[in-house]
Amino acid sequence: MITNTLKHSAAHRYKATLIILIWIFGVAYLMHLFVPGYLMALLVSAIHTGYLFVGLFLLENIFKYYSPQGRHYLVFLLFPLLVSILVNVAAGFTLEYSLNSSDPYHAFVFQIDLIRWFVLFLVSLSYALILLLQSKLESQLQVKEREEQVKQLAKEAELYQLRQQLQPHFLFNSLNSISSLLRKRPEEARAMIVQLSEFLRKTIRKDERKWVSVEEELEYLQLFVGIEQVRFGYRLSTSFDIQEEAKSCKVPQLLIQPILENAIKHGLYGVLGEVGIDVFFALEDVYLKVKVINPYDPAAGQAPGEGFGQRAIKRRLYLLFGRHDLLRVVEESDRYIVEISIPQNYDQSSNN
Amino acid sequence: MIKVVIIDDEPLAAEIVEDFLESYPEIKVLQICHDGFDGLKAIKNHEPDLIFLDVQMPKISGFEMLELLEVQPAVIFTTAFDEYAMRAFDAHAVDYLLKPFSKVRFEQALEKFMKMRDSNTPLGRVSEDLATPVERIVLKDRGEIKIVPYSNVRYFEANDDYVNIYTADGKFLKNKTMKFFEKHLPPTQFVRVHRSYIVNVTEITKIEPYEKDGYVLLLKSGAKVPVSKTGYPKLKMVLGL
Repeated sequence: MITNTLKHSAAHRYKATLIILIWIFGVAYLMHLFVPGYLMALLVSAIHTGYLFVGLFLLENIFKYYSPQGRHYLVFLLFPLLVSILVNVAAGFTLEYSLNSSDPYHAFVFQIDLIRWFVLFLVSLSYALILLLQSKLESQLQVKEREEQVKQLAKEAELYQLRQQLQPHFLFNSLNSISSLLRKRPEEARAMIVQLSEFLRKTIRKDERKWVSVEEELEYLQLFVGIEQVRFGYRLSTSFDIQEEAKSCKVPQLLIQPILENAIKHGLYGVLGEVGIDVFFALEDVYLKVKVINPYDPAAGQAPGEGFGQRAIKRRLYLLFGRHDLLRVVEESDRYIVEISIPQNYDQSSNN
Repeated sequence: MIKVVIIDDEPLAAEIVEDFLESYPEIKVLQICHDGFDGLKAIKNHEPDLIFLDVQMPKISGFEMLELLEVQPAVIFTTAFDEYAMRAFDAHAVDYLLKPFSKVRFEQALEKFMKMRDSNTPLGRVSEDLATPVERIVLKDRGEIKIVPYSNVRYFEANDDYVNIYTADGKFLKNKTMKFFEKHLPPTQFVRVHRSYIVNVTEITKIEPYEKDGYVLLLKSGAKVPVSKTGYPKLKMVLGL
């Protein structure tokens, strides 16, 4: 508070000076009630206040770098105690030199040594308490603010999820396939309806803050691929290659499917003929690496809207882990590789 | 007999159109294509009266395919995207079917086509004003189809009813007007510096005075492009001079 006041505007400084002056005069007035001699009382009071001011400044700076946590009450008391002793001793020495030893004040000041110290201690302690309260309030405000931000981000992600997952064209094209199957191959149509419903149900129910096992995630991905397979027929083939150790890894829900969807889309619309999509899961160090590869023709102009999906994935990874280096994209002459690293040592219950 | 070609990259989507057409004995489906390239060939070979065309397809979109046609048959678009409806209208499409569509809706589209055919309504040519956001330019080069991202273009030069497009891979001809490119290219990168020239400003290395109060641009490729009196202020503005 003292530091702030020193930094702040002139108006602040006036107020502070006024308070200090009132304090000095107040104490001097009280003292002169006991021993007459107003000027002397004023001098004694001013010397004490001066040292006290320095002491409080010291105290404030101590608490800036060290804030007592939990049950360290003794430590908390220790600092005001030290400061008050220091101030008392310093003021005592100054008075010793500046006052004539025959002065009635000299005797008086040293008579009330203990009281002097006690008052100084009380003032230091109150000041320390104020500081503590203030810092607690501040950190509480910060925590609240951060919570608010996290909530906001989660909401955004959720909204995006809705848009991304229930991509209307995916739904409409799938329904169109069903419509087409109905007359000649009703059994296949029914199977597709079941598959689509299952996929949608899983998508809607998913909580993106939860983590699932790789095996569980694979089931979901295969449902999705199955639907795309019906739509695109022989043109699309997808292979999954899962390393044994990777099977027990955990992944955040709804993270991989958009990557796969992107790869299928860009594979199918970027090149002619048959399109093979390769998906790899492997555990490397503490990271689960998920690699999705689609064929690609860099010579063709990219279709508009490219990159949006990737930005979203990057953002999602950042929201989850607070890191920007978990997505890697490699453009080879005929393959487009997207690789994400999912930290396995991450606290999987408290993300987002 | 009415000749029909169906172009859709999803086999089942093409199948349902074929299915619905079975109840029209006068209609014959000559070919089903799964991308725009096959579509172009089929249209050239069969000269169909009507095509059913999907928009999102491998490599080139349905709209881009139409741009490459000299003579456009009647088109009925079939797509799951409703955001292309305006463009389809601009392309003088007969109708625009949103997937999945009902038999009734399909019949309406065909009825519309029959009426237009009987009344000899010209079935159109791709309109110049296609609200195409030009991300890339689809070109025909000696029978081959090339897709050029616009950022690869150095400059455009007017050539009667055509435009010469100069790129890193050489010079191409496209049957569009300068006005079209001026309108649809990103104005921060392409400036019409002359009645006959649109230049990619990232290619400019030097602006030199030329004759009395004219200028000429020196490009990275070494080519020179004249700047007209009205073109110079436009160029200055884009370059922030």
